[in-house]
Amino acid sequence: MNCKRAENFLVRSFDGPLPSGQGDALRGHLEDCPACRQRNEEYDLIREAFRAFPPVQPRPFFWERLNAKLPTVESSPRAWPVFRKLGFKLVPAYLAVILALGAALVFLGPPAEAELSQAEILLRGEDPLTETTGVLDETRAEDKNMMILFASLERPSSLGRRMP
Amino acid sequence: MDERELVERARSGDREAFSCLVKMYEAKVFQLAYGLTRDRHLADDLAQEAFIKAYTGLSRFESRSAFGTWLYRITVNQVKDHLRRAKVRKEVSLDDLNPTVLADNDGPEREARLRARERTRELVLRMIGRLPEKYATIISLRDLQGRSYEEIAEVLNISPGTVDSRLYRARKLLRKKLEPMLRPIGGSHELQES
Repeated sequence: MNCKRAENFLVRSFDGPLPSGQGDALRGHLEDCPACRQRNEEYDLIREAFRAFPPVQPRPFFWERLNAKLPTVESSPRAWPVFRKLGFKLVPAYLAVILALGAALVFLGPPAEAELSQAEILLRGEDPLTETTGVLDETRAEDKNMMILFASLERPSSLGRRMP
Repeated sequence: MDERELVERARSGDREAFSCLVKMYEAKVFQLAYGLTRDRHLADDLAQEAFIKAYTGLSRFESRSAFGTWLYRITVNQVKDHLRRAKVRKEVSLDDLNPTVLADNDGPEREARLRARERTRELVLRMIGRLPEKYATIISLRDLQGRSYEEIAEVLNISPGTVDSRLYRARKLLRKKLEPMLRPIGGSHELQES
């Protein structure tokens, strides 16, 4: 046995007596090795100190002092632990509900506003040139230029009208 | 009433049930905190804080581990947090560690030996506090508290194999740190025996 293995056994012996084979091997090594003998004495002192660890007690009236500090805990609703336990198992159900809601929104939602043709606008009695008139009526040249610039940036509709 | 029932009742706000749990564990929790801080007042305060945390967190306790194990875990974390925050790990003064103080041979031989033993105990306890936190914790749980490897593994949330290797390194490091101070004691013993 080498010194490293001997120290391993010395440390292991903190948890109880070593198996007889290991114990005998260790004793044999200790007889021949003064350094490990010294180490063994040091471990003995440490072990002894552990054993003599004082049975310390908390200060008196531990519970009374603690009780005064405890916050009032509302009795937790019984349903909560059940919900927590089932929470993960219900994930498919949650997904199904979300999908159903999404489908309902898609199919039952308000119809997209259809673009009106010029004929429809005229039928409704609206002026198809409202925006253009506004630009033409503008007296200040700067404002007019800006209005033309912004109008040119707007997306053209399939009908050739510029949509905001 | 068994522990599980007490926990259930305490969970629903029954102070009486919680007081029973406190009385069952107050000494153990206090000793665990004391083993890590070596300060009675501080250990008492930390034990109280651990119980308050346990009380307010009872709804999160899922009974997968024993209540005691869960409580020890809270206590260890509480102490660790405190040590980290306050950095209260006391430096061991040179006077405390002076080997000549330990090898006190004044007075009758028996008395001197008892005094030396008492000082060794104090020295060992102080030196545990000088170890890296993870080693101090594991020595405190195993060698001072006598907890099983399995229980320590649960408290620290590590595998029993890690408990074994960490404990081995911790004890070895403790001896190494104590070596310069323990040599004179060992020497005096050898002298006394011859």
